[in-house]
Amino acid sequence: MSLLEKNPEFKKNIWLEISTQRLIMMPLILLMVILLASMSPLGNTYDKLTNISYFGMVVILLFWGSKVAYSNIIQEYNDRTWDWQRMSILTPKQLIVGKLIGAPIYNWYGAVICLLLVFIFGVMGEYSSILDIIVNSVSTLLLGISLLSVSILFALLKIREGNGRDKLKTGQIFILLILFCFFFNSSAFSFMFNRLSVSAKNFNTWKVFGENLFYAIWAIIGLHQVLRRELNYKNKSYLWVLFLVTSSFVKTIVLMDSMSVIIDNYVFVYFVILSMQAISLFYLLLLIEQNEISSLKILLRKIKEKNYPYLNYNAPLWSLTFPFIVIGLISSWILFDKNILRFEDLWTQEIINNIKIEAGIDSFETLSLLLSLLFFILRDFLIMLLLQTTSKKKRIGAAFILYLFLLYVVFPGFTTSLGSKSIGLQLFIPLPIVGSFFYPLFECVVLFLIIRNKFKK
Amino acid sequence: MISVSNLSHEFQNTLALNNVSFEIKDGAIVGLIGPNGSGKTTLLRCISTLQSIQTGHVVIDGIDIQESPREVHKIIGYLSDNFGLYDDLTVRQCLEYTAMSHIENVQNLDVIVKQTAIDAGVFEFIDKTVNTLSRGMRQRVGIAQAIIHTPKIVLLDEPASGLDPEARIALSQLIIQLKNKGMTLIVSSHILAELEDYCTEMIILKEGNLIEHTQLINHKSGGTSKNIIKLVAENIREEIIKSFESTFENSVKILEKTPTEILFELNEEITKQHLLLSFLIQQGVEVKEFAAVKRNLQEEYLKTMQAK
Repeated sequence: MSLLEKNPEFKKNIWLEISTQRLIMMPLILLMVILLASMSPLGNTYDKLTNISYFGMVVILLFWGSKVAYSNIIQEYNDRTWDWQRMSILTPKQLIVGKLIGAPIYNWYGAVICLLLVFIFGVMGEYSSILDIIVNSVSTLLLGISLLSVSILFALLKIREGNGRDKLKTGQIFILLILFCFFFNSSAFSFMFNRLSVSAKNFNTWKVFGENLFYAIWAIIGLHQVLRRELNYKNKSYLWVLFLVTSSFVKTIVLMDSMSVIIDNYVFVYFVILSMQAISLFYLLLLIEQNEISSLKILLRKIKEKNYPYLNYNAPLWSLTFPFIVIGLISSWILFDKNILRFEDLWTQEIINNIKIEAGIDSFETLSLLLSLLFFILRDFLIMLLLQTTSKKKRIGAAFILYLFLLYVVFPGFTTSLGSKSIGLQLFIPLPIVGSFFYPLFECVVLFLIIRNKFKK
Repeated sequence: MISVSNLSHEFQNTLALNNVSFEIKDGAIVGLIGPNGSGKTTLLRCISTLQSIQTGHVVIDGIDIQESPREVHKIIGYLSDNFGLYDDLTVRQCLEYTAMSHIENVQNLDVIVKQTAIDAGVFEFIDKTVNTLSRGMRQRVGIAQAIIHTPKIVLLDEPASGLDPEARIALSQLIIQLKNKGMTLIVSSHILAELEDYCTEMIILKEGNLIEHTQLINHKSGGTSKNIIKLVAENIREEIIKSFESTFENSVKILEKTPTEILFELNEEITKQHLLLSFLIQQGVEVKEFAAVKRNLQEEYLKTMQAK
């Protein structure tokens, strides 16, 4: 039985996306671009064409494809066709194939043509070995799978904000998401720049391949989980926890390799990365997860009732991420010793040497830094909760980003320009100054009292 | 068949449904009525498992929808307010896709698609793309999608909005046809005159609260249950009314009375009305008119809304 017969979602997307005219247009346009590029007198023609074909693949698959995959879900939601799918007997796996390959099938078609061109020109050029070309191409396809999966995943989280009547807008948050994924997958980010620059020849393609494979697998697992929830299956929380733990591990390996850092204490680096990753994901989740007061009230009620199965299936991911911030920060604090960090890069080493903090667990400065960091994060979370209690639901994300910008960029900037440095700055950013945690703690208490009052109402 | 108990749903700091409870029997056509924002769509979405249930229970055909939502998908068809269609597909493709995604191991796909298109009255347009169809036809394609897996329950959210009178009449006929095939339907609408044509029951929601669940008579779809009877006679004396009330204490409720006219509700089978009539004649009442009356749904609705 063919995929078309087995998977109605895939079949439907083929009907919608593929036409003879479109099938002809894509290779025609690509051929014209290649023809124009080959006329340019600069550089080796085949290497140049390899790079242009590669660039075409990046644009068609990674950027345009992600946009198509994201918009497809939002469009389905706006047209209420998503309701049919949620009430169908389609499985998450069928939907993954349908959404990940079917909806952006035209982009995959373009990407495959570009890939063929990369391979042909690469073999004819002087720049890369065949193995390099194959590994790089597969890496890019894996990156495509990651980005498209994450785009769909974000769209699925976005539609949870909907009320079933009003339409959602597409695309605004999109560039931010792509950038986040690029930064998150550090290999992908550096790979893109390296691959587009002929000069960078000493690039570790296998490391890139490994990281891309890792994140492609997790992106599909994540998408599978979100689709399961949309289709009324019950999910358990352990997969998110497993992702946080393993992702930090992979990042530790990548960092050790790429930053020329000589570290004796690997565990310390692991916990630093764990906490940093947990912090960045915590803020992202606050923005994209549905954090309505009503859902939080239910969550609190279920906690009081000790309804652990409900919490296991329905706990928001930020609530699972926060403990890892605490674990990561406390562990880093316990393991911290600035003498263990030695960089090959002298400039970086000088910065480390100039940090005027006492090392070790017995230092009040590092303890203050740890506590103020935690309280600042908690304060930001409470700001988000406070925003949720307001009536203007559509602008909460933007308002939250604006508040963070004011609190972490504008106000500290003013304070510094007024000449009040560390004393004033500790009001706005975590600093290794004894007692600095008092300010965010005070803000947390005030915000907590306001929110509690609103909750009671 | 459908049992909703203590269902509440809060959305964006607003209580969309507040402790709603009701039961609907097989074969009913229920009109879900209420002003904008009263919770009609939320209620339909909760029943259809599209909205999670925060508190309360919904049991459909013996299946608790929180326990086995995927089982409920097989017996429910849901049509949202803008029909949920793919504009660039043909009617045949829409139906083929829905059949493949709603029926397990679907056999005879062509036959199913053709029969559903005939039932919904869209066979004539089966190879046209959806974006070329009128709103009335699009709505029929939507209904065809909702019933293609022959569900036991069909939920229609504002199916008549934006339709011309001809399309509304056709919709009424289609809904009665579905009921005659054994389906139970819940239809939300603002257009009460249209609901009156086919509803056997009416649920009124206001600000998330269920304020009335009543059964209707004299509708074209043939349901019977709550019987309103109008008596017109000369000089109906107060003692006769009291005697009438005490004799039929458990089965009669007087709704309105004037010296010449009484409107009462009979809580038993409509066939029992001859007992009342013979009692009145024995008491010497000069009966001029004794008949079941059709309660105007619009009047009923407005009266209920004003009272509560």
